[in-house]
Amino acid sequence: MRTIKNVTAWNEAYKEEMRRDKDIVIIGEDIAKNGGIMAQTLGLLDEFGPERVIDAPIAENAQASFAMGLAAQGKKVIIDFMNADFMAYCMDGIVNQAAKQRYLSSGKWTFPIVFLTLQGAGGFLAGGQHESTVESWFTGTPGLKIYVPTFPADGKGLLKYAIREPDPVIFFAPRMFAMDGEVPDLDVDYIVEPGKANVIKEGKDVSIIGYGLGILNAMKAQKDLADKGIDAEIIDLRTLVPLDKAAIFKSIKKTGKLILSTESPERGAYGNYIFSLILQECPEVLTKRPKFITSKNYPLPFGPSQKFVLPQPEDIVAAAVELCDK
Amino acid sequence: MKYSNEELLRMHEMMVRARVYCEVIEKCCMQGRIIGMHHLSLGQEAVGAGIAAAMKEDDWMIPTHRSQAAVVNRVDLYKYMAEEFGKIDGYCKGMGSDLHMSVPERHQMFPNGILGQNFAIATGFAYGLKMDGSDQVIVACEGDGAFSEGLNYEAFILCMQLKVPAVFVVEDNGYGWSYRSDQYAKNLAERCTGFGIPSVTVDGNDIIAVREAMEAAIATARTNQPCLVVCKTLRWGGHFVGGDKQRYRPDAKEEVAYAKKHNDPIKRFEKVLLEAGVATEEQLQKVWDDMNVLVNAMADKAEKAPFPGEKEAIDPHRLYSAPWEV
Repeated sequence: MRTIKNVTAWNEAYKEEMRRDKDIVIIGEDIAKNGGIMAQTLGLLDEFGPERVIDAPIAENAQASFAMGLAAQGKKVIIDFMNADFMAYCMDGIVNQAAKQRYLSSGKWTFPIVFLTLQGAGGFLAGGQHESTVESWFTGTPGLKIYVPTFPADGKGLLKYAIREPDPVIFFAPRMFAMDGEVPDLDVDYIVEPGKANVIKEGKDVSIIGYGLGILNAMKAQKDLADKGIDAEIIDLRTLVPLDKAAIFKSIKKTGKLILSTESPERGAYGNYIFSLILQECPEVLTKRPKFITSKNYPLPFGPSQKFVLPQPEDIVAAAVELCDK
Repeated sequence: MKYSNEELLRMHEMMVRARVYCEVIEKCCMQGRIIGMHHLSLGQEAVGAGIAAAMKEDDWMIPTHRSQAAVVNRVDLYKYMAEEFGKIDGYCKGMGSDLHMSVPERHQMFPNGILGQNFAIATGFAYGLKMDGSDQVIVACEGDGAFSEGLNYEAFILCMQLKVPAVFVVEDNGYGWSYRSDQYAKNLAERCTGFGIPSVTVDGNDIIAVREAMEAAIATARTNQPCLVVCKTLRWGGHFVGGDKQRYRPDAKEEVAYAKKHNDPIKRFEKVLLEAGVATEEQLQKVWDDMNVLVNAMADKAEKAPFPGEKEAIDPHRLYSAPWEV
């Protein structure tokens, strides 16, 4: 095992997969000659050449359609959109094209496309139009798969899997591109299968379930929780479509208490679907009303006042204290 | 004359096939024998047939929703018609109708329910052809209305950066539903030259002119230089059968009557064939009679075929190539 950053893990995934399969093409703004704005694609142009590593013009809509055509022709395409907010430009290419054309053809095409981007707040980039979490733009569209890893090992394993997927995957990489984490050694072809949540910490008092910033907040809250004698179970969903429903039900059946911890604004958040599933499947296992710790229904401002919109670790501590009567 | 008598007669039959197919669909609509919206290419036969005649069998095509004149000459007629009827005998089991029909085995990509995608998707597909070192080209079609979508111009930037084997055809039939094409500030063919893409405008009701322009364009595209052909023609009907009163076209009756008398692409070509002694009136009439019998029999068969059922509609394998969950 080694400790590397998220961005290094993604870089390794790209290189390993592109060595393994010469039909993979990656396109995005500033990803070839610049190696990506976070150095996530550093070295790809030198190793794989300009035919497979393409600097795109600022034309996200064309990038998505380009991927559709190239995937239909038989190649595998990765698009790096840089920031999730920019995907609004190519909603059609994703939700009307990639999600639907296989079905409308009654299964004649495969579209192995990874729509990849960073999402989420952090680093005081530019706030509202650069740092949003947007999975709920897509979770309501059937035909897509949606991955949300947070840690380097999951990022590497799921990115390798996403690239191998024959179907369109939206890969939301976490904003914390420089975060360290343990990954297997380079001689391991490390794959993480989607639809399998990761139990980061087992516990018996309360289930904290989520993804992205929600998981990082849960881990930051861990010390305070332990000090207060709360033994939390922390579960990282890692993928939303497919979703590991069994892991969710198993955990809340054990603890009877739920804190859903995510980042996207509450009204349209994917977490609402998880509550709906629980309400239909096993509401009786909850001994207390569940808590939803996520962003308020505001865009993100620039700068430190983001903290008033975003969920904070203290919010998780307060919720757990209330649920556990501490 | 560059084309043999046999070839000229083949082109005539292609246009007759297009006309009769559309007339039969129109009749079925008015008789309530077919569901859905049918956007017919009546009056525009020389464009589609000219394109199909100029292409090699293994050149790819992205048609529009109004490309019957081309598509009937590239695929199995019954499977096309059954798909247009939405029946299970169709190429895509009736799941998409002609509006989304894919026939990869005949090198046909789908027309798009979303206008403005075709040139951008073609750019990606053409890039794949170029990566394979193939000499195939892709011909992508759009109407004058779809040519207003901004995505087209993003595609022009990208296809000139990547230098791909693509021919873009703009079929200007005078109307984007109700939006007249004579109101654009400049001739449509001038739009792409600013991006470095050569273009030409032809009389779309002269099948020889269309075919010659397409052959030159395809030859250019085979050298990885994208180019564009504008074919000027006239839409005889409304936007689709039965559902468009054409309030925006008060002179429709006179305009179409004049076109049918003086600018019918098939009549014009028949005049040439007769004067050049390539065929007699009887021979030409036989083509019409045989086609009417054939196509009407197909319509009867398609009408009797069943619609797709739950097995086709609810099938995770038609949605995903590797279904995990739906």
